Amino acid sequence: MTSTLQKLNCTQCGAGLDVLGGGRVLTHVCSYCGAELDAQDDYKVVAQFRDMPRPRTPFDLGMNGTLWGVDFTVIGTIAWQEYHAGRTWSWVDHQVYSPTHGYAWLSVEDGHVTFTRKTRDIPRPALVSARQIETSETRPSVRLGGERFLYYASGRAKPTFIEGEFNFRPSLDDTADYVTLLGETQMLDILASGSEVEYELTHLPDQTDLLTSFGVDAARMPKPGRRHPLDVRERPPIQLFLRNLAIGAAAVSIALAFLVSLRGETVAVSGKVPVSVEVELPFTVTSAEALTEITIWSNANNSWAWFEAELVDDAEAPVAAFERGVEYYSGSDWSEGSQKARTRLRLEEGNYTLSLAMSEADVDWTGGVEASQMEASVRTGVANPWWLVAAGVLFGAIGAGFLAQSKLSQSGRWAGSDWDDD
Amino acid sequence: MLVRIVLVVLVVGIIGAAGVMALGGVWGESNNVISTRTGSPGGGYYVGSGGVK
Repeated sequence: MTSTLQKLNCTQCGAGLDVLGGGRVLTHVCSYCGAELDAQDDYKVVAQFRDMPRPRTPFDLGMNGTLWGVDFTVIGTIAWQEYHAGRTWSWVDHQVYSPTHGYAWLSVEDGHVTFTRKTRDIPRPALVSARQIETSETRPSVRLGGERFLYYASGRAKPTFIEGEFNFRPSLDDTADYVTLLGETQMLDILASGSEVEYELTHLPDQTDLLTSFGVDAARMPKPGRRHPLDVRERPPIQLFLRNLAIGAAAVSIALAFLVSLRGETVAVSGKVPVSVEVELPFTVTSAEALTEITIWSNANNSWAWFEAELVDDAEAPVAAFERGVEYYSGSDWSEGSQKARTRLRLEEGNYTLSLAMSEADVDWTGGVEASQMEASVRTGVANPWWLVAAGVLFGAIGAGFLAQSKLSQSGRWAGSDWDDD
Repeated sequence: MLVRIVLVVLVVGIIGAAGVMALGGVWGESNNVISTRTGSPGGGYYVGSGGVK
């Protein structure tokens, strides 16, 4: 679509030019001869631009479309280039005009089109200096309108092509120092040109809607490169629900595992006896639905001791037998092993007697003390909490997967940043 | 909403099943315990875990 036009003839070359930009246009640069005309002074020639390579952009002067319900017309084009460390970045800014909403920019870079407007609000702090960027340990940040913006990139750009109408006086000799900071849904540019500092906010409109509205020929649109930092990919609510559910379930499972591990009742304790004595410890199992835990303690210190245990029932018939070692070593800042050894059995209801005797012991470490005392204890109704731990790990892995996906998505937004943590 | 209810039921079911297994001490027996096996010939010992008497 093309808006209703007024026309004038270039005062330098006589070419017919469309007047699209409203009453605050200061400059009109002829598309044919590159003459810069003063729109406030009878279109007198104030400068002459030559040898300007035309940039690749799908927008032409006079195209109009709707953004967030507001009609805008493309009135000017400035192509920019930035050189740094042997690399070149280039982008094209189109000044757009709305009779009701004034002036703004459509920018084409890396296959994305963004919408930028100046803001009169001043962020805190108002500036991010080059020195701050060089010396800061973390990304510099500013706050504006309750939103936090983190440093994304900075540089100095020069125009390489100027055409059409502008509400300022552009020049090929201009340079623009910019610092770009990234917020959640918008970018903040701090632009310094001479002694003037301006602030601009950039949004990423729905690309399909924008291109359709402006009637852009898709074949002229550069292919998008990397993901745009404002391309915030909203995750489906069900995914967030599942993430929260998984994290909650993991916490509940681990908490239950802890509670379950405390279950059990101590039904018999031998008390500490010399290792030369054989322990005879009777006990009763009242429920076969859980485990019975037999704990052997010994005061072996920087040494080891070996114990033989046998379990008989009421009729003195052997039920189980096992051997367990206790070994414990320690230094000034380390320890290894334990003075306790646990054995878990599944026993039916009934009366049992545990026989325990030390069969062997030795000191094999400097300053070791051979085991001289031992104790046996029996706990019934013991659970196996590892099932709940496993459930916690499973749910935790699912939650962590979603969190990692979110983190990956965030890091994708920052992939084009020139910030280096080093 | 139905999907969310199904997911909650599934999660509660998994935690519940894990809780039942934990309280029952399933697979919680120690290794290397020599125990008599119910009905084994001569009531002798065998090396294994669980199924005591």
